[in-house]
Amino acid sequence: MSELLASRRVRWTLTVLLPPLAVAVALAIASGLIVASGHSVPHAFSALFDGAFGNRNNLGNTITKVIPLVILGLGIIIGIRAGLWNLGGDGQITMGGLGAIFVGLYLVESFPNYLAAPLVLIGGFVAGGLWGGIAGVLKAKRGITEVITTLLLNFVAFNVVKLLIERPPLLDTQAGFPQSRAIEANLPILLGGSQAHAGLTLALVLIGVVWLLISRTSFGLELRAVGLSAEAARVAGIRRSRRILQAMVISGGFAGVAGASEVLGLQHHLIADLSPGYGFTAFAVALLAAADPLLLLPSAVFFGALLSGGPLMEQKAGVPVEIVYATQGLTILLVVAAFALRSRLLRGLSIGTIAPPSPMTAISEEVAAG
Amino acid sequence: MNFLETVLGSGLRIATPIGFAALGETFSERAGVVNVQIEGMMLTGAFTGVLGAKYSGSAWVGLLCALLAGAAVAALHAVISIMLGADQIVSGIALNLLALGLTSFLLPVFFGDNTGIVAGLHVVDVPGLHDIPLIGPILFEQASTTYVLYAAIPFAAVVLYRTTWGLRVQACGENPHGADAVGVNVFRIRLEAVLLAGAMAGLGGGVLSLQGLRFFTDNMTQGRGFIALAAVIFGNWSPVRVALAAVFFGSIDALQLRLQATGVPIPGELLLILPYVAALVVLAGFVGRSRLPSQLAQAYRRG
Repeated sequence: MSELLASRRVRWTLTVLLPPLAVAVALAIASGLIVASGHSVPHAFSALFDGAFGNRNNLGNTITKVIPLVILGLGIIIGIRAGLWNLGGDGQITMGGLGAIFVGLYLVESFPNYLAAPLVLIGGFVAGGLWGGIAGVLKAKRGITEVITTLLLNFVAFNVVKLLIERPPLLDTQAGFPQSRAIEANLPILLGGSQAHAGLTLALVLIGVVWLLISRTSFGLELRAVGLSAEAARVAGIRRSRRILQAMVISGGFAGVAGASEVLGLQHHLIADLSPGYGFTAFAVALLAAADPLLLLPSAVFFGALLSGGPLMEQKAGVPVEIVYATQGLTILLVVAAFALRSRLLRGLSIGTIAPPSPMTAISEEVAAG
Repeated sequence: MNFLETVLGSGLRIATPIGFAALGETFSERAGVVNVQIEGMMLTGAFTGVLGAKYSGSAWVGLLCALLAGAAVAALHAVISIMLGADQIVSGIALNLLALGLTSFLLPVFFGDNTGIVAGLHVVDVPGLHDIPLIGPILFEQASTTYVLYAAIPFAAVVLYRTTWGLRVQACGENPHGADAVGVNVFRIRLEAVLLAGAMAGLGGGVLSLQGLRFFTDNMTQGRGFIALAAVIFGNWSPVRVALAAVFFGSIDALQLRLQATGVPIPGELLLILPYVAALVVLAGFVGRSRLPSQLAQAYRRG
């Protein structure tokens, strides 16, 4: 029993320590690249920090990145728990924005905002959910991997939305560039003198909702069972294909809510570039958080700060902003490598001393370990 | 040239980079390892191909650089997903982000404002053969790399089905424990297959940037790596059919480009999405429940 506890303690310690360690190593490698390209690291990092947190406006800008990253990250976590890699976040956000604009312009234009804004968010959920559902149906009914279909659907969504906002009835003819007409419904500004909007409150509430859904409901338990083992789920009488479809719809729906919140709080119009690569950044956010909703916020703040501080770093220190995307990739690589190494070490520790952990209790650790 | 010749001829040209990448990926997936970073390996190849061609003045040196760079990215994937046993999909996504970030970051470092036009691959008419009606202009008025692809297709089929190594590759994807039991080094075969996939994807990327365009721009692969992944499924993990699937997707792309050029009254966006929609439709409709290698994307652990 004491060996079991010791092993638990080692496991927990590693889970808490590994992601920050991975971030540190990723930043060290990025620093090496900055030096190699002939720029100053202290200069770059201070400009980055300044750009992310230096004043109210910059802090608010960071918050506007954190909002979609958290909401989208929650959708990705739901997918991961069910054993699905939803790589279609960009397309689902864009489709969510389309659903939001449709509801905002045609269904709730005369409603007071306290009714209109929630309905617009629901419109985003439905549109993103339908888009994610396409990949869900293909996976559940035809066995086609969601890894490829969600990626392909991103290109389709982008162009479909571009097509629709470039011409009447959606086109904003006043703007002089392609964007939809503005909707009246909105999410109010939270931090005066900045763009930070009430989408942050929504994101924090949704963290709690998803945590409850995953860890305190039988639906969440069944999702995890499906993600853990198709065979175990079948034996337990869970209808696997239905759960897969539901997980993809909810995952896409969250991305759609993120898109609607971008429209309501930030853009007010729909633009084709509603998601500047949030789908993949949120994937990094979810993995750095070890697919745990409660760790999502700090992870989203880290990646959100990189995104919002990047342009000032380029402007002041001359470091191309693309280093931010390289750092995202490095961080994911190091996190998965570290967790894989950890589970190898732990297997080494536990051979012959403890029985294999029950799948249901081990899922939260093992999901992260891959 | 008539419409059909134009579409199929440029379809083959567009399909060549995808075809190289998809052929390599066939081996890796047969061995049980999926490379979602095929997009990133192609992008890396496109970048290093232009880099090599610029500094050497030779497109062939550029292609060699592209091939090696693709294999280098694949080596990272192998360490993380085969040696450490981490999730292959996650490693692939991370490498895509890394490749996209690094190529865009390094572009101004190596080239300044833009790469400029570098030494490229030119169309070579095959004497005699290109005079054959219909198929001559389609098949035999291509860049030399497309002829290399013609040779690579049957070669890949022979290697996969008729050599010991090919049979071992298949065993590692279907029953790695069984393969291990009869003395096959599963880790090594998977490593070799992944390196092959990386080299071929890098080569494909080099062909993409050096054939026709002869320069590099940010994210110039534009999802071609994902189309290659779809081609492997559509081609049912068989080299000849995978190559034909790549030609199919290339021809769809050529068709939409041709339609855009002729000014049909269809919005450009609807034409642009044709290759992606075609990939989704064939995966959904024409492929039966796909018969993928049973251990695809499963990490192998001994014991």
